[in-house]
Amino acid sequence: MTDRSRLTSALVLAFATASATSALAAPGDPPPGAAVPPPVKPAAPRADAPAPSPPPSAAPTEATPPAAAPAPATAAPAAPAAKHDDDDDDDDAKDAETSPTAPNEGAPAVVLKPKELSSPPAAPEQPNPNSIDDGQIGSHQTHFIVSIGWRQAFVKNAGLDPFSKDDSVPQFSLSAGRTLLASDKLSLVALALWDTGSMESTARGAKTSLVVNRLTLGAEGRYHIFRRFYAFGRVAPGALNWNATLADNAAGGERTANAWSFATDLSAGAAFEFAGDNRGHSTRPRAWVGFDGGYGFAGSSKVALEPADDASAPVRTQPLTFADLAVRGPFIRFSLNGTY
Amino acid sequence: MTKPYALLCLLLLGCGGRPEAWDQAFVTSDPVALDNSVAVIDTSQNRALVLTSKGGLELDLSMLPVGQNVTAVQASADGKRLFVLSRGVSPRRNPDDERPRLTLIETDPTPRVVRTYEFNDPLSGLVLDEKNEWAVLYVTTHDSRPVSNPNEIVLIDLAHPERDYIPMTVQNGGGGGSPQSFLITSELTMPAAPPRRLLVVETQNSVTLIDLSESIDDDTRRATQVTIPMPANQQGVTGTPGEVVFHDADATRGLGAELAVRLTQDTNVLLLPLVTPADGSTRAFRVEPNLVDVGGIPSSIHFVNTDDGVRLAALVSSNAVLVDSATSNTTVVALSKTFTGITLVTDALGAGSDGTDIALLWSTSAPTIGLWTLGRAIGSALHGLETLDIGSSVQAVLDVPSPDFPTSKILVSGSGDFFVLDLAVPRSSPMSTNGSRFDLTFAPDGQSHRLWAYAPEGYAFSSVDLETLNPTSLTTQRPIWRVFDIAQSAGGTGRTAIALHTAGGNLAATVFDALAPDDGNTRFYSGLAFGGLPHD
Repeated sequence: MTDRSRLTSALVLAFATASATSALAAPGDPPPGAAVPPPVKPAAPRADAPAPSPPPSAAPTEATPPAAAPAPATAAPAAPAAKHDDDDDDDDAKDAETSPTAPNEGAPAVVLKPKELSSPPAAPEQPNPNSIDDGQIGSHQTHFIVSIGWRQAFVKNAGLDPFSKDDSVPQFSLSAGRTLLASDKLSLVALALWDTGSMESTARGAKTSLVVNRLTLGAEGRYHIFRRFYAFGRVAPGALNWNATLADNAAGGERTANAWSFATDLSAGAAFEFAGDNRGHSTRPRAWVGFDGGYGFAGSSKVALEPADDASAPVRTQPLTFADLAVRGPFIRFSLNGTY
Repeated sequence: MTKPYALLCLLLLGCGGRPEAWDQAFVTSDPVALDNSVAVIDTSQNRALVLTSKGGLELDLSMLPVGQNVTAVQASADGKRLFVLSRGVSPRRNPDDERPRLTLIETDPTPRVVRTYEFNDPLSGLVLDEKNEWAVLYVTTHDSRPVSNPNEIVLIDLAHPERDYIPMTVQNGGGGGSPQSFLITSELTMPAAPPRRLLVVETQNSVTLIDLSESIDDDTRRATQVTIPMPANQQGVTGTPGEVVFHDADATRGLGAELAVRLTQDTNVLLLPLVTPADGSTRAFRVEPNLVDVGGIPSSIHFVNTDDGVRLAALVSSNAVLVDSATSNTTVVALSKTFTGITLVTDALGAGSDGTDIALLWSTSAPTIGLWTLGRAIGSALHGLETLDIGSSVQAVLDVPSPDFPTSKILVSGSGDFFVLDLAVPRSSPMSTNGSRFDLTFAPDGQSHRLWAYAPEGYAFSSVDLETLNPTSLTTQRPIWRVFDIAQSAGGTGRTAIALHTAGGNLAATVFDALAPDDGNTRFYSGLAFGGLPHD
């Protein structure tokens, strides 16, 4: 089949298909230009089907209304004669194979009958696999975790008196970590935690402030009572830094002091997952609310306040010493956690 | 509430707290210097902040408890003790509410409370004996009570600290007066009893003598008071005591001990010779009052030894009237100026071989001082008076509390300048100031050879070496409240000068080496009022 004959065949097929589509179009069908199903290859004629009537001498110019016109038992539907005439190559065998519509010489003309097409099938509803509860604990237990919270410590320490009227040390808590090990309902999580907070007060009328940062690395052992609820115990050694200031009106400026000390938190608590898939192997994030309480230990440091600006303070201003400060005591913490 | 819930409450609400002291402002009264320390009362904390120095510009702070509502703070004359009088809780509502209290503090070798006395009713007046044997507490107008006995006083025998205090009522002879001023005499010879000291209580209209002898009991002491009502003056107005002076007996001249009273609006002076009491009297003496007119209202009186015996010298205008108490005769000595003050400097210059005195005369109105040699007061045409023009009137004469400078006096002028007067020469060395009103201070123990002059709230002050009269100008970097010169504690042989500052409700100090003061060698300490505050 020559290129010309192939083009002719394609046009005929395209025309037939377009005619069928047009004939089947009904109100409610997709408008022109909407996606349509691909042309469907005509089914092979049945063997017992009556012989087809002779094909017209020329290719139909418009679609023929549907009629029972069984195709010859042994012959493929003939291609329009015009198309055949235009096929000027020598490869007839090839054409016969590749052009099922090519009419046989002397065979009745094949009328292309558009196949009645069904309306395009609705896309099957794909169920979200994350919504299918697989009954597994999965990422309820094994996950990355980030947390934001509020920590309130109760520090009964003489060194805190100049800086707090109520012995409370409020702090903003941030942490991040990863489940390292999981076995059945038990798991082990590694965390990095940062608690930071500041407080302002007065000491006999002089303004004071204290900023406390606690940086710890925590090992948290968990037990999942349910997939969405677990209890934990945590040990978090690290370091604590504080920075104190006092407005020294007598010296005429601000005094400051700061120190680092060893710190360790020992706490226990629980967390509840209030948002997230049941499916254990869900890949979507989860949200938890957590609570823990315990004892935050920190070493004691000397509070020797020095002038913040030596130039404005009297020469050889001596340190102003308060009682040693140890920011340690029981604490509680509420947190919102996100896991993934 | 069970413990866990309580703990949770504490955690959630921050129910804890700190002692109230941290929220109370620093309030204080004037600081007081002792030999080796400076005491500052932290009124709101009912404590004394005692500053000491071991040397090397170090400053140590000790806190000692005192009573609530402090009304009087004084150092003993020898600089060894601090007396703090307090009202306590008033009115008292509970059995454990603090009573009025006198707290005695000593600072050598370390600051500590050595004795407290508690009273039933508040007293806010305090007088200390120059010889450190007695303390007198009395009612003032600040002591508001529903029922008050304004003549109530309390005597404390400091020489016998084991004894309790002695409450008594001053017999003022009627007229509604109450104790206004007190004088404790030196030991006076009694006509018919062992020598003893007397407490002289001046009220608005009388003078009462109280026997301070150790040999009598307290009931006798109360019962043997002698009250002398003041006479009416020429206008019929009852006189008010303005000054009481005394002298002891002079056996060689046959004179007994005697007191004299200057009346504020009377040309008479009241002589009170102590004579033998009537037979059977429980008193050690009797008083025979005698009024002598000195021709004018005297500005000052003093007993002096003249070349003609003991006389009462009364400064009246530009005259000095010498009164012979034995005869009531008077000798008028014309002075070239109007002198208003008289101070005996006999000991400083050494008494004459005949036992006569030398007096320093000074005036609040004339720029002249006089050195009056009383051994020539009567028998000499010039009456033994030498005058020295110093260019300014004198408001006060200060003794230099140092045995090394017995002839030195400090004359404080009305203009703020001051003069170092050497009686031995005599010569006056003016110390001009920049116009500021300067306060002058010395080391209370007299061991320093320096005079410190400072203007409160100023930054500059000066240290004057009394040997060379060379002033050293010094400055601090914060306004000065007070300056003190104290001995070093813990066996230190040096001395420390402390310039105190108060600002922003706190206490600070600049510390100098008092023996070699130098701006470039100081230390600054602040936040002293935070020291020793309580913790929960």
